[in-house]
Amino acid sequence: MSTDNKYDAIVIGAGPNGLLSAAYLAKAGHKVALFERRHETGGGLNTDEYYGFRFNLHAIYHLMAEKMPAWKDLDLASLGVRYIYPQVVAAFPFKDGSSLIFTRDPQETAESIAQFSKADAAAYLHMWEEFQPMLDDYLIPMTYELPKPALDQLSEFGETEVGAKLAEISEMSCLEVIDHYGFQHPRVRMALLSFPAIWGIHLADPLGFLYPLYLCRMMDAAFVKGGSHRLSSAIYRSFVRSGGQVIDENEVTKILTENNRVQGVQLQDGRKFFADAVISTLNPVQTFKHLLTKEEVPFALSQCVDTWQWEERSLFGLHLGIEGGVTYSAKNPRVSQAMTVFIGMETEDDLLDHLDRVDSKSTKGPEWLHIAQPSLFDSTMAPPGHHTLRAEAVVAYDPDWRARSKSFGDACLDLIREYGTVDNIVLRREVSPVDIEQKLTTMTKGSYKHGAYSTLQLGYLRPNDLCSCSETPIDGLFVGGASMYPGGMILGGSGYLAAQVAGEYLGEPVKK
Amino acid sequence: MKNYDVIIIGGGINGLTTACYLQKSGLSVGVFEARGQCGAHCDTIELGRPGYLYNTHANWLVPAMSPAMADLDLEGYGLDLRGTDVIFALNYSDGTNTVQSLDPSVTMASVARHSEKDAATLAKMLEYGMANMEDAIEINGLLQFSRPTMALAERVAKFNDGLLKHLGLSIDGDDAMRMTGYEIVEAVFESDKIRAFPGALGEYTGQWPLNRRVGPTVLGLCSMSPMAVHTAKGGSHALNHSLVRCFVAHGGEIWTTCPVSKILVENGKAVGIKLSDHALMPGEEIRAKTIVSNLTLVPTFRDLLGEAVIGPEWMRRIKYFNYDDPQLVNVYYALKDAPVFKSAEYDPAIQRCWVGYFGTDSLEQIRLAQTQAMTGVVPTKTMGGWSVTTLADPAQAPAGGHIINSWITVPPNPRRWGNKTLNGWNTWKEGLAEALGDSMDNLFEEMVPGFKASIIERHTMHPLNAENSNPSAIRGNMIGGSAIPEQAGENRPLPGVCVNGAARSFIPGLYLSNSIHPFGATHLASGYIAAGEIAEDLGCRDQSWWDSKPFDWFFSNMGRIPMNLGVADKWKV
Repeated sequence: MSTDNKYDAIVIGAGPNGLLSAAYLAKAGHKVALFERRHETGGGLNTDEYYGFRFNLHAIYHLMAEKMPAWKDLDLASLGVRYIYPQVVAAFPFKDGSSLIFTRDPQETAESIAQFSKADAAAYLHMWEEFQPMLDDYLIPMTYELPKPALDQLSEFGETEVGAKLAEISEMSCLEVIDHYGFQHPRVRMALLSFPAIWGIHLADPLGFLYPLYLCRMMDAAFVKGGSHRLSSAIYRSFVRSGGQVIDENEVTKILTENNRVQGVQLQDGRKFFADAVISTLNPVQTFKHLLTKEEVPFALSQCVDTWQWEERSLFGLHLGIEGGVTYSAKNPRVSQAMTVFIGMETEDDLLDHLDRVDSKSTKGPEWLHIAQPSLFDSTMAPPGHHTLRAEAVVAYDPDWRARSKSFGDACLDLIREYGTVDNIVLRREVSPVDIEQKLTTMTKGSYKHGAYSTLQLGYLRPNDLCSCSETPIDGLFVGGASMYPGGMILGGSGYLAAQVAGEYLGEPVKK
Repeated sequence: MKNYDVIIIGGGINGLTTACYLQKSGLSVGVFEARGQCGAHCDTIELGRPGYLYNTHANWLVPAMSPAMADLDLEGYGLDLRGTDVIFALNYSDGTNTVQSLDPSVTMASVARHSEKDAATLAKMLEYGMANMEDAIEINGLLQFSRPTMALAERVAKFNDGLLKHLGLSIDGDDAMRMTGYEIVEAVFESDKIRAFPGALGEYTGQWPLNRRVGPTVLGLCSMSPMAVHTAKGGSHALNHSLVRCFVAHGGEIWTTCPVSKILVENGKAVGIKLSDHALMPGEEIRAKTIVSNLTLVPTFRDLLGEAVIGPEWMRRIKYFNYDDPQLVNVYYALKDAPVFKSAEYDPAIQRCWVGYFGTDSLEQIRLAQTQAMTGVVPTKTMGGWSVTTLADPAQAPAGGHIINSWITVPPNPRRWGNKTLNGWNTWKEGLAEALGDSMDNLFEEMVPGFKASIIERHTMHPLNAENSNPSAIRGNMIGGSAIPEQAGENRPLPGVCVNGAARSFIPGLYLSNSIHPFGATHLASGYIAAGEIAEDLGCRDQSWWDSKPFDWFFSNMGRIPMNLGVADKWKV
């Protein structure tokens, strides 16, 4: 094993995107070093395992799963990744004992919606049917292709009927999309809007193209058997097997450049490592403001980075190890079979008002929770006779979060108990936005997608139009994290794209 | 699912060591691990606040002693060891301390302050050690890293004969073999405080000094010589990661979340494994000519083999394999500041020590606590080990913060604490660990004034937690089964389980890398021994790179291992 310091490519940050970039480049034959600040790789693919419990503290279910090119390209199944697809995806129990059930099967979902509104049930099926070709022909493949400027993209959409429909809803907000398909019932609308809202998407912003993704990919979401970290360890092992070197527990504090050309990186302890290409998967402020000096960054780029917006809505997570389990009081037993259970909201107005209160920091405690229990589907997540549970709330960041973590956690438990019983809690952890920020330092202000999903920072503009296709104005420097197209969450996207671009640059493409 | 040359059941560090050696020797090896990650007993987790890393099991790492360090180039795969120059210490209630240093003169001076006579004895021990250095190193290496033999036992006895004679004692090497650790210490040293020192150190080895036949081991500890006392940059799990990287880089395959439910046996020979219904590939069968079990004895024989294979006689005998040695309640702390021991006034060297023990002023007190722990009673007097990992590796906490991993010896099935009757194994569900944590808080406050105000968070781990973390570690036993005389040395795990070797089981094709000599620890000795016997049998032992000797790497490299990185300047010499 060499401990030398010259590589073809250096990747900064071993979260899912960094791991992917590194693994693809190494597989193509490049000599790659992957640097990680923490003692553990995986970033948001984190599973803490102790006392027999496995807690997914960040990513819990994945929306793209086997749709990621990496699934086949790196043969992740042969490296031990198995996805579990629960049939019942989301349950919305209401105070009167009734509930809405969304499943993988749109017919089943429509039947559930029909108990509240037959018209909305028909609308769901119609919308679902229209969304499928939008996803298959455009949205899914585009996730794994470099982005085009908006006008070019829209004109491409205009070339087909499906594309034209997609273009139409792209300019709408999620609220307008729901209006467009004619949904009326306040409970149904609330549920439909929940799917983007839990990820911090602002429902009145013109991000309609995200809606088909957040609804339909949610209906195809999956848990990694054994915990989210099994996905990052598989990519890690692919990388090591291809000869890659993982250098964890070492923070990169400088990207080295000379005459506007990348040279390598320097670590906190002063050691230097050299490479022809460097991919940074950190956020734009870290890459261009902390790791590079003012002189090294072109003025226009620096200005762009100055306008980078963090996310307004972060997450608070309450994690429990339970001896026994949770029993919901809802009449429909399918609530207890759901991948996620949403509690606290009865109508669309409730949800919109709640989100306003979150943004204005005027909520008193948790009002809306989405609950996941991976152990219901995966017996390896807890000891026999036990379950794990995560209850998550959309919350605003503030630096004093920790002081109220415990009381907020207690209030989450109270809210859960309004909808059912919770047996003996033997382990408990709270993860506030401050914990997110301190643990995964790319997630400034708890921005788990590295930055706001606003029209000025999405698509071709993510992170900005000077770095829109991973290449930056600095020769040999590439970006590749959640702050690059296609964005955050476990998509297997930006890291994959960065590897493509860097591989071409190095003269040895990663996909033949 | 492809077949392998070798299947390893269980990805603990000894199993991984065997896996690395064999994969590197050109065999195809598959490791099947029930947990999500390998290395259950060498884990590092952020139990609470980000940046505070707790080594939940192994803290004091000794891979530096292992041939594996060089043979497998673990440093090249990211194992960066860290230490302090003062390697062990004992704090006493009167505000004094005794320290053991990499520099023998510091150790000597520390001992002399308590007892000139004991210092003189120590000097004599060192004299003998220096004069017989090569012999001592070789014997120790053989004791840890090779199969116990009568010849070796005689050689040890002869060495100790010479040592004890040199000390002017009327006991000989054979007597030492039959003594308990405590009896040896009482024969060698005379002052209460210095006697307590090897008593405390003995607890760290997992071989409880109360047992007979532990005499020679404890005699070695009495010499207070330089030894490898390390943590790793990033925490204990760096050892797991370096082994995994070495293994995978050589083409090895690891399957996690793959508990094994059966070892397949055909015509009396082990031919493969069957995965549990909970595994990634439920019920799948994978074949290999060589199977290695890194699970402990009882799960291997009772569950994976079963009565149909081993017969009723063996089923009965393994039932009595003992896991009930004293266990630990671990108490982990994140601190705002580095602890300043009250005994720093007496000897500031304590502030350069990251591993120690406190709560006792005499061997007698330790013996009482151990006897209680061995008989189901929670020790009346709170005493235990502490490690301030961040003095050696500041990276295990955010800047300025510190981590302490401490522990108290307890019976795994507590039946009494003082006057209070307890519920045995089920007591762990009733908050006993938290109560013991409170006792530890108080002991720390006594020894480190201002300690409680410095606590950011505290976590505990008890034996039930440990067993839930790793069901193969019955009762949370850390070393693969009690190190009592009938399960030690040439007996381990039980007479007749291993034939013609320390790892070859009586089932052809099945080897053991756990519950065998010497015992589970981070010197990777069991894994090394198993690898050697398998490679011999498969004809691939002769590898140019497989030539390192025990302690070689440590002696060659001890000078360049970073020391005292987390020690504040005012305490540095």
